[in-house]
Amino acid sequence: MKGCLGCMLFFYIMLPMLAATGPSSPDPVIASPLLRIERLPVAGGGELRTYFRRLPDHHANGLEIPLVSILEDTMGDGDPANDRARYVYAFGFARPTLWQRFSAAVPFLYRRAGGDRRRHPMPAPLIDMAAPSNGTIPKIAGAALQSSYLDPLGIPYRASSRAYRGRTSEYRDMNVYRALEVLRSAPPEAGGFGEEDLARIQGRLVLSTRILGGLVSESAAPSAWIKRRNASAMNLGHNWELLRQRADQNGLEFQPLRIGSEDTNFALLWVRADEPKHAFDSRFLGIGDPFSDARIRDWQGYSETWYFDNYGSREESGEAGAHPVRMIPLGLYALDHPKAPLLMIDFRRPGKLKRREMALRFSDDVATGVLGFTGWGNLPYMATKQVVFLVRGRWGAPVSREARVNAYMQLRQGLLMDRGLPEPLHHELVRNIDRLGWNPFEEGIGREVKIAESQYRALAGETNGSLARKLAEGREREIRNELHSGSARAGLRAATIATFGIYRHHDELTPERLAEVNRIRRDSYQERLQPVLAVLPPRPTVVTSAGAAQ
Amino acid sequence: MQRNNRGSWLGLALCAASILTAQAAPRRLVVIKADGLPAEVLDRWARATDPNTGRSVLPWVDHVFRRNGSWVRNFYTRGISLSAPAWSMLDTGEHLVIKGNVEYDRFTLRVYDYLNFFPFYLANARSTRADMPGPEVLDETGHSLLVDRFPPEERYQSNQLFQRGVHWRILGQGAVKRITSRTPRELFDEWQTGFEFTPAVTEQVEREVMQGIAGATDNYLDYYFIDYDHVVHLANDEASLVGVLRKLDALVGRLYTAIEASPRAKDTILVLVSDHGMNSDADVYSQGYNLVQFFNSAKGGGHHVVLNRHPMTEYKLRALDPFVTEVSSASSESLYLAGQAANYPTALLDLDGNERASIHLRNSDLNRLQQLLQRAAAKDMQAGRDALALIESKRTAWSRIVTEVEEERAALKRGIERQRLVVDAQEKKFNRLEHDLELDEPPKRERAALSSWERDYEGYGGYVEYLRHLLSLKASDLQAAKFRVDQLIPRRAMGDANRICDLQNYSIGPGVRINYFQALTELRARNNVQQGVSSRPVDFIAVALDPAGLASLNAGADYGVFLYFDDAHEALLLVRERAGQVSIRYQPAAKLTQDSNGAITFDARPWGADLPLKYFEDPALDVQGERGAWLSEWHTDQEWLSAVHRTMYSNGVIGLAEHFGPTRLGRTSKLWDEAGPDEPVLRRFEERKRGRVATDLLVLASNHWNFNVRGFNPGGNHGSFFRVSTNSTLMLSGAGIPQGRQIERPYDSMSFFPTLLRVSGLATSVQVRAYPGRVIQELLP
Repeated sequence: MKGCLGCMLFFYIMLPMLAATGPSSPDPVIASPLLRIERLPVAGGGELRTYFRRLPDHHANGLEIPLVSILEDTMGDGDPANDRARYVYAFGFARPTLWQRFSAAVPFLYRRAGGDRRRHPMPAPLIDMAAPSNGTIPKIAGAALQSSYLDPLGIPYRASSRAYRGRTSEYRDMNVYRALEVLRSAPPEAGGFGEEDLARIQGRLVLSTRILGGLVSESAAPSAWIKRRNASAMNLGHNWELLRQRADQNGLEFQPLRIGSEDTNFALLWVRADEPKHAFDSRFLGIGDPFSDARIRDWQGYSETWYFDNYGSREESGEAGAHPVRMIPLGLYALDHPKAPLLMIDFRRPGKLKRREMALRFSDDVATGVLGFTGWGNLPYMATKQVVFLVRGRWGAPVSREARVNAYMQLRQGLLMDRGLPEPLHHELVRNIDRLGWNPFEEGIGREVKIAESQYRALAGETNGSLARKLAEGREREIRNELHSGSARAGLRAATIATFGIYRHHDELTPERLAEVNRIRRDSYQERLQPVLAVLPPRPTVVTSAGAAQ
Repeated sequence: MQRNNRGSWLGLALCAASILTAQAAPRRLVVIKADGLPAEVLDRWARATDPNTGRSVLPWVDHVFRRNGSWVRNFYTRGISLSAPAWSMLDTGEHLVIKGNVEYDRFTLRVYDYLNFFPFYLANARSTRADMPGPEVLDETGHSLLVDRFPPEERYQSNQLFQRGVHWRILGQGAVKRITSRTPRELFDEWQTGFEFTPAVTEQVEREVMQGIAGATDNYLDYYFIDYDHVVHLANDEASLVGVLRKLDALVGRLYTAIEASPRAKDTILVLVSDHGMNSDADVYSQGYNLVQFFNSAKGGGHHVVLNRHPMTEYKLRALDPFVTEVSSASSESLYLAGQAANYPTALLDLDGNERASIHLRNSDLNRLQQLLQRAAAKDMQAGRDALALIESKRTAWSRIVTEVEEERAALKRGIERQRLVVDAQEKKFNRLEHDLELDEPPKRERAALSSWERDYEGYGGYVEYLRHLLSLKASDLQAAKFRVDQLIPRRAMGDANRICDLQNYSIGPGVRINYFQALTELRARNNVQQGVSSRPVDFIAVALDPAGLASLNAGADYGVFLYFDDAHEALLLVRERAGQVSIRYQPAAKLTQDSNGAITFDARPWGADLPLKYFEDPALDVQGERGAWLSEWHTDQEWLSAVHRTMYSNGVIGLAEHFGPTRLGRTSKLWDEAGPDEPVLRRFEERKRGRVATDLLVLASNHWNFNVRGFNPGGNHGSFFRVSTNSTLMLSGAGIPQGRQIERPYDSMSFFPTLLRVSGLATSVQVRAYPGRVIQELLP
């Protein structure tokens, strides 16, 4: 009887999975005007959902770039109640070369290191959704090791170890921002996710950039994303309007842009070549006075021709009364930045932004790496820094490194995804933004595309291999909580650590256990839904007259 | 005769019976006051289905109000769509007394800042004030609030603009419970995802409202929901909007559930009301135009501007001061007042709400007089003679002001002495329990009244002293240079209101004049990058007709308003009131001018497109017969409302009439109740004060434009007469309220108060006739 039941359970659980292990035929889904989402079946009952961006036509006809993949454990059925997102991959996030690692440890080196990373094409996941806290202990241990052991060893050790750790963490964060940008660009249902599920993935990604973020409970994770998204919506509108008004006051032309996004996320300021001298106040703009700049008079760089009517309103070319005016770009601004728009490209001084970033980082690195002022380790320094940041931030200065890096990644990602900009302008922006790279782990946009392609090929080739194993491992971890007590699990973990990973405990996934996994997931789904359902009003039972009473 | 008498007695008996009935069993009111919540948005999302649940996106609003309650679908703000005026009408049921979010007294520059909580909280803590500025003004003008209908032990009022007293425990207990009501795990999660302190107050208010609902004693409870207004000013994306609506929906659900579980479930009415709508569009950012910079600039008159908050607040360290109510923005381009911003501000701006600006300009003749006296001080004899001639032309009016104000001050002084006795006789110490029961609030109220009267006494005294000096100025003083300009020209005062002719020929410097109607409507934005948004920030301007101008029209109106779009598209709104019935007539005009004697002339023009309010061309205008003919006639406010409420400018014609209407004082006020023979004089003084806060210009923004200078409000704004901004929410559910009823007939906010009195049984049909608004009959059983 027991055996019969086991057989029934086996077929109940495994049949859909076996069905799912057939030939891996891509299932293309058009997600949005910007993205295509491909859903590849993974052996054992999963899906690899990959977000692709078709390159602008002027780059290559029909070429697509893989951007992000999410490995979803579907248990091989169509029921979303037992689905679990497992891993998130950002293509381009690659294992560094030895040279890159060495460069990253060199203090005050603010440039890309280069190197061929295609030798290890299998991408590392950004996050393991089944165990989001996995990175927490290493992060805490790393920080403790840094402050208690490496810092006291002296400047060379302190400076290089801090540089290395900082750049490693920043490189990962950059790719998290990139993944967030991609996921935001497509509606959740296009990726086969519920709104809440996608918000949970995005929330986990946001939290993964914080040292203790992995410890946040499952139910609270979406709110990390919702708060970020709401703040971003407010930033976009606020800075759009701030920049428009500053352009008005300074006699400049404002051009909002959607670069690789459905939102207006960047803006360009232009000056008319025929503009008479105008009072200029550079506050919030961060650029020099164009009206007293000789470079504008002899401008050799990128320019456009716009058409205006006699009242100064922009017109389409060919409109009656419209006359052409040569327009010179001054600055490109990121709008998703707190307090004020962030200048990303100063067309007259292309190296300026890199120098600004280097100066900020240099001062930080001197303080922490050389002088040993390390936050809590030096309270007067920390207090002074906070006051300076408060005052400068209040005046609109870009004091948040995280926000600057985020804006930089949005622009890079946006340019990669963009289809709307004129080709010469796109080229000009890419050329400028590619100069900005300061992290040795980073790659130029062109090389990154190649890495992404090879990573995607490697990953897609593993749908019957390591990805299937990862699904199984995830399920094992889920069932382990049911099979072993807390202390037993701690013991098993300790054994793994003590043997440097040689020993890893495995719990065989029998049909009964798979059924148990299925049950756990459904229970958990109901548990998540319960608070929502519990506060719903009773279903309407009485049909009432909705007619207007006059 | 006998029969008539019998009828009268029967009527009286019925009336008495109904009063007794009404007083015997009043229903409990639980009111959710949602700031800025538009009816249309709520409707749209309540009808939408949430794919996760298969139910409405706003399940509780749908359940409580749409299915089991009544919804007044065409409910409008009467007046400008601005919080302080709008709530004042909802809370009193009276015509507008407060007409801006901040008001300035032209004679004394006293600032009535209705939105700033911080000075009030500090003053309350120091026992010098009991109420927010709004209730203080309403008290003084003799109007009571809805909450005043209930004794203190039967009411719970949350933090809001028209707040009486401070529940200090909300801050203390709220802060503690913000921590203690959560598990360490939840606190950790909040810390990591972004801890916010604001919910400490709102959660505590909700706890106290719940407590009140669970008890049997409270007959009135309210909850002020500010989040919608705050969020949508800043962001116009759907996710933010739906997020905040869901928050409101959940609140409705919790309150409804608590009511259902309470012992008074059967006699409780749950109300959801908003003060105004919100002009927000997911595809358009609201664009700002900086009027402060305009007025500071030479082309705007080189004014030293006063406003109630720092421009660009978020970028200034000094703007961290939460007690600020007056900020000066000096002009570097003033033609005759350079460096004198502190003593001689010449423009006062109320920009709140942002789709409109209410503007005081210093009287043009006062500007001219100061310029002449400056020149006279530099031995320009002709200028001296001109100054004396100007003073002479003002002698009658100014002498009258001096005489009347002195009479009023004398009466006020007697009132102050009486009030001082009251204050001195008060208990000064209160124990903890008395404090918790807020028994210390009435004495604070008495002290606040005394302080306010003393301030007016001093302020008005200072102003008339200047007038007296001016009136006593002689040619010999000028010749001997025995005068100082700063002792003759009132400091920090705007003087008399400007008439249309003053605003058409406004003196901004020696021999330099400006026409503000043209200057403001000719403003253009350089960068106008959104389709469908005009490059013209100013839509039209509204100005009150002065008595002489109105008389010259001989139109049988009690008061009037001049509307200006451009020289060819102007209008006169003529308003009359007979037996409490307001009637309005719209007269299209062009090239209107007013001479220095006040006589108004204009070219009569036919109805056509682009007249202010754009009714003629609006397809939603609902009138019988020829549009032009109907629009040109006198109609009651109700007739206008039915005809225009669905148009783009909706009930703007009524709103303008209301905004520019006279101040109607109530019957009882501390100011004159015990004043005996001084009562008429003190009433006149109160009317004078309210008259002095009336602004010269009401500048309305074009669609998707705003005048915010404190920061940026790209999400959306309100303040105009656009339907999207005036269409507000009114829903009721519970005891005696019809179920599933959607009321299409239009009503405005003046109906709210008497309707609530009727449905709650607090007043009879006879008693509510004392209020000017119509009861919403469809809500009565």
